[in-house]
Amino acid sequence: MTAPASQRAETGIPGLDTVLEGGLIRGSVYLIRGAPGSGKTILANQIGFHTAALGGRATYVTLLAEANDQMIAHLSRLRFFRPELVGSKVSYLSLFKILEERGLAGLLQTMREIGATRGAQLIVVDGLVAAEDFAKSPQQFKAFVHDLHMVATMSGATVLLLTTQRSLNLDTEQTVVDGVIDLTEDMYEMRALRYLRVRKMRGTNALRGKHLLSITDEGIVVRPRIEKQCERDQREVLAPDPHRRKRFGIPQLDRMLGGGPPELSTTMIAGPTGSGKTILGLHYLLEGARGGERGLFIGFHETPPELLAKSDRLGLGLRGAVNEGAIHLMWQRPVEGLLDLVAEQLLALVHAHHITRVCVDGVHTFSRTIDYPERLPEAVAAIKQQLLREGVTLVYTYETPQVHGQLQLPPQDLPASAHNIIVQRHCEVRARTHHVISVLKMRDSGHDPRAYEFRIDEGGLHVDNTYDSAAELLGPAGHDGAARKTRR
Amino acid sequence: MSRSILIVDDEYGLADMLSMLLETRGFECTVAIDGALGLAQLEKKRFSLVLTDVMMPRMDGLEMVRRMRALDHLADVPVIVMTAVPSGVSPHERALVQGVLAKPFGQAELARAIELVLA
Repeated sequence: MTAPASQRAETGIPGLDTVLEGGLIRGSVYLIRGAPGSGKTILANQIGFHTAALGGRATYVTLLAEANDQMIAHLSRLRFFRPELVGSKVSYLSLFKILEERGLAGLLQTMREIGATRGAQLIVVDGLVAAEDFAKSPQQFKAFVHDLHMVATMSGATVLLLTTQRSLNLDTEQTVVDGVIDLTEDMYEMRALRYLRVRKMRGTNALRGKHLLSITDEGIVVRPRIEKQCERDQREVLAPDPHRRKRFGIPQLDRMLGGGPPELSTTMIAGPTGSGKTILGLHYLLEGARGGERGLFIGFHETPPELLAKSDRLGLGLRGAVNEGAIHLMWQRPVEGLLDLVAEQLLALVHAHHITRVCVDGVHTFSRTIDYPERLPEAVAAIKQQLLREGVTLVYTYETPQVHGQLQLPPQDLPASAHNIIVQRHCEVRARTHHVISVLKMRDSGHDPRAYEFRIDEGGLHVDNTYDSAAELLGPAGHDGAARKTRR
Repeated sequence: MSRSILIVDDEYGLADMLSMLLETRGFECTVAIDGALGLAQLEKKRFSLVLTDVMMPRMDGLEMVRRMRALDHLADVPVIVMTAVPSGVSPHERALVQGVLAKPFGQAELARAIELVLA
């Protein structure tokens, strides 16, 4: 059974509250484990300042020999740090001396005083390992953590115990705390990636497994794995409807597609760079806008001003549709964890604006920025399912490596999961580049299997009404054989 | 005159925490670590309220209450029993006390229980 929202305290850390189903539970004790430099101190302080910003109080107790000044100076460079709250709402206490002189009993007595008298909603104990060092036996240390639990319960404060993983009594600690969060660092090829992982969380259906964590100028940001987030949605996943079509507004292409992609289907537009995939994606959204549908374009390379300028040059009318709110443009620089970041924003926008057509331009970018590429098929499938729940018909572009010669499709899992595949290609004949488009696959729907030549000029992408020219370009070999053929 | 509370609990940490929490609310607190020592304190001083654990060595909390109710001068001292197993307190025993507080509890529940009894 999960604890209700009323019993939860938001951490204020982007993404973490999603992982924790709304936050930490008040009056509970959590163990935050991680090697030095893993972000434990920042995480706890960020939660402390968020607690203070909401009107509460936080007490940060350190059991380490070092003074707090250096830590505070380091924290002051992060944006969540608000100096005016230090002392009044966020207080720092060093209890190393008490631990050294009076042992665990003295420390506990002080912790009880803190719990009873300070009115703190958050108590952080940094350097739990020092307390462990002072324990005469594992049982005494367990009793210490147990008593801290009592302090949390009675005071109603959330208690965070920060410790390195060198602790010898992890099992002891784990049995008496309400939750365990690990901060780790993995190497993937040349990249060092930080992760947050919830090991245990009583009363919470936490998102299991590792989630990317970044330390930025804003503090810590957690990117919950999108496939795990989508698992929480119990709504039915709708199936494509072949009787209802979503046209591109390019007559010949729509004919090739048997009227357009079926509603709620997923269409991959594959092709090399410069083959017109982005423009085709814009056609898709603009045709929807003309019919009163709302669309969303997500790109990672061309910025919204660049896209609008491109549309103006071709006379597509994107600027007007954007100004009217019929099409939303979203741009995100390719960064580590791009997929989870974009997916979260994408799903929020779709839900908020009742968007029914989405074009993701450059899904291949995800494979370069994802932490573990083997996640990609599962994550993309989860996003697609989520979009189906929202009633979205999705089109996405995927850049293939070949410019001339035989076109290579993306890794097998992605094409297999797309209902429809449109392929755009270049071919060179007599020192001139031509463009050819074909429908490679349409699931459960008839389509024209022939290739057609197309051009991009005023008005956007135009597909020839006959396949004669493409037949000549591609030749009897079936793929770019035209390089050896002379046009009439 | 300040209101006084006798806390009877063999778990020193809990008794200490309770004592500090109640002192911040203006109560004067005395701690005894079992029922026999609790009775001894009750003979020395008139308390506004007794907060007692149930399971303790030597004399448990319910036995202490039974003995209190048998004495004219302690029969009317209000008692709140603190227990992790409220169902273990029989209806007859419930009739002897003014409240049963389920462990674990927070300061808000504690304050409500005391207010109800002392109102």
